[in-house]
Amino acid sequence: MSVLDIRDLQTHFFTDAGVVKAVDGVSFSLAAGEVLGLVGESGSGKSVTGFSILRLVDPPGQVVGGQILFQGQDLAQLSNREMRSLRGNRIAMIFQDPMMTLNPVLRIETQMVEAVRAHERISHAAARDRAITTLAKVGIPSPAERLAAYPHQFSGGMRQRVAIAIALLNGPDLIVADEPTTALDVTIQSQILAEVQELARETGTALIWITHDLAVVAGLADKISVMYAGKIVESGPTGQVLRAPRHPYTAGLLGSIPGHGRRGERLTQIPGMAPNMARLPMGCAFAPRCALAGDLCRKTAPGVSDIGGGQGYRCHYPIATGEGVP
Amino acid sequence: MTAMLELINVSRRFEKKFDAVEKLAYRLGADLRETCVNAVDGASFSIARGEVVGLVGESGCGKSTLGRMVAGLLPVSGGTIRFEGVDVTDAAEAEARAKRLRIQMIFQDPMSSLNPRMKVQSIIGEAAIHHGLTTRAGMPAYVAALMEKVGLDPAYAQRYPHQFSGGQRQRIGIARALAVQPDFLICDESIAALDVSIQAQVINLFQDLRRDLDLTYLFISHDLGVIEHIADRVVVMYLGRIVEIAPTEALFQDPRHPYAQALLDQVPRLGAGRQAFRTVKGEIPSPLNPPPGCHFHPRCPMAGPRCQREVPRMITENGHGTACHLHDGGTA
Repeated sequence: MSVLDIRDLQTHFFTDAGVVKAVDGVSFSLAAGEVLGLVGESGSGKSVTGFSILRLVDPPGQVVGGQILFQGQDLAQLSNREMRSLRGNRIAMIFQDPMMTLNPVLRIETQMVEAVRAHERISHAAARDRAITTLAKVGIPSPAERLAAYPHQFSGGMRQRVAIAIALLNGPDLIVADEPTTALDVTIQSQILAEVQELARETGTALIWITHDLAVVAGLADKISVMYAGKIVESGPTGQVLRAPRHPYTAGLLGSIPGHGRRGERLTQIPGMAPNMARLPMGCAFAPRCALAGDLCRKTAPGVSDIGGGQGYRCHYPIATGEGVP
Repeated sequence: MTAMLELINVSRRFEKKFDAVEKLAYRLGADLRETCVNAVDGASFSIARGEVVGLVGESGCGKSTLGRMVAGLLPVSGGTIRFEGVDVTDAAEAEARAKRLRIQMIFQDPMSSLNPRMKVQSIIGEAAIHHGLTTRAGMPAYVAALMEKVGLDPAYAQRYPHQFSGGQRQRIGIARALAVQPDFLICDESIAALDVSIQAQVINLFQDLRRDLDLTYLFISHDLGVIEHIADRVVVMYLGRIVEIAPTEALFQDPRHPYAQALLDQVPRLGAGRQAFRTVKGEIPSPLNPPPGCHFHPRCPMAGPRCQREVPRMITENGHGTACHLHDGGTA
């Protein structure tokens, strides 16, 4: 059974400039131990999707439609109290900036012990032991001593490890990670990716890795979903999508990444910029930037075409397989 | 080939002197020491006309400090910077100042480097008027031409920076740098804050400008993919010191310094399939208290006793320089 099953999720923001459909009909499911890479550029709705799962969307934002089934249970039906008992316990979240999520005036010990005892009747000593084991698991040297430290005494990479350790404390079934390595250096990022990969394999925790960096998910995720203007425009098994993207936006993103033995050549660029979410064009939101767009694209928004093998896309004129990046 | 820019043993120290209370405490016998960070420690390399040199390293390695010294925004603590044969280290003389003008810098965050209360036209045109490259009357046309060159609509000249998107703001920063007709651009993480598709547009712009205006770049970035794409040669820094200098292809095919090897090894890559991420152990040590000898030795899998004692020399063979004892008689 899938751990998480999202069906037609709609999260809208009711602003003065109009209704912003930040998440507009997102569906995906995730099995135990599976890693999903949710990829998109700023403003594509990838983070709001993550926040919606934890019901952390603040006004003027609101989940207005769809279902979020966590182990078969619709999260929208839960009371705030029930939701609170899930958060940090069965579903955990890791944010981009650990300095914003760790309390700067409390020792790591206080924060970790609190996170354990909020969900379980357990002695302080036992909770502390668990904190030490979890810190060791994420690669923090001499965890027992480090418990007494405050967040500012850790380096950026270590702080993110502490945040990850807090997310892991209660052995969650699902972790939503929102750009957790974006602010970190390459060598630290790769340490954290290695640890997360191992943890997902060992504990069977399902993982949603939200990122703008296709290269990170290429090595980490089992499957990826690419978001553009609130919709998943392409999804499928990682290797398949990266090898043979069908949606022009996915192909454009892949072509935009420098490196990879195309030194000095012009990068294939996607012209224009991300659309204003309050005033999306009629039809396909990507049409104004798309080289393959026709009249149909400017009139009707494409539905999801399922091409089997778990791969699907929203496009009227997809790239034929084997054609490669245009 | 003569070097356009030459750095000889350039260093930068940041010192924190005692304040009044600490001075008193020190007199009374407290165990205090004035702290000193060697942000850049004896950097030497040169850049030829028309070349793009990439400067890579992780946060705190001194790459931005080095860039700022070349741009003349930070005085050096030691060493010499020569531009076209003229010593510009402290730009007191008119000739050195004129040379300095031809080195311009593009910053990471355009929002904090563009004055929010100035219109784009004045942001781009002000310096050009000051340096006599255009007149007040000719300025609008001068700015319009520059805006077109960097891919901005000249119709937006009367707008303020906040009315532009991140990618467009970066283009304003580029236009401002180009306004004084430089030959040499320092790009300090100039595309790091942009989305992938916008990043590609700006990289292409840099390539076009290089061709059209015959520019030379010092391109500072932590993103090895970007460096591999744009640079002819790469300088790798670790904790204030240059550890490897090599032509881009040579570095990416055959990195010699263990740190460069580790760095290249750990870049997530497309098409590598599901990756087993390998890791260098540990973190970058504090620059306040760097390890003795080779700075990398506590994290280095190949370190020997000599690495703890002796700072490695830069050994250059066929244009590929490495500062590592492994390439200089062994680590024993």
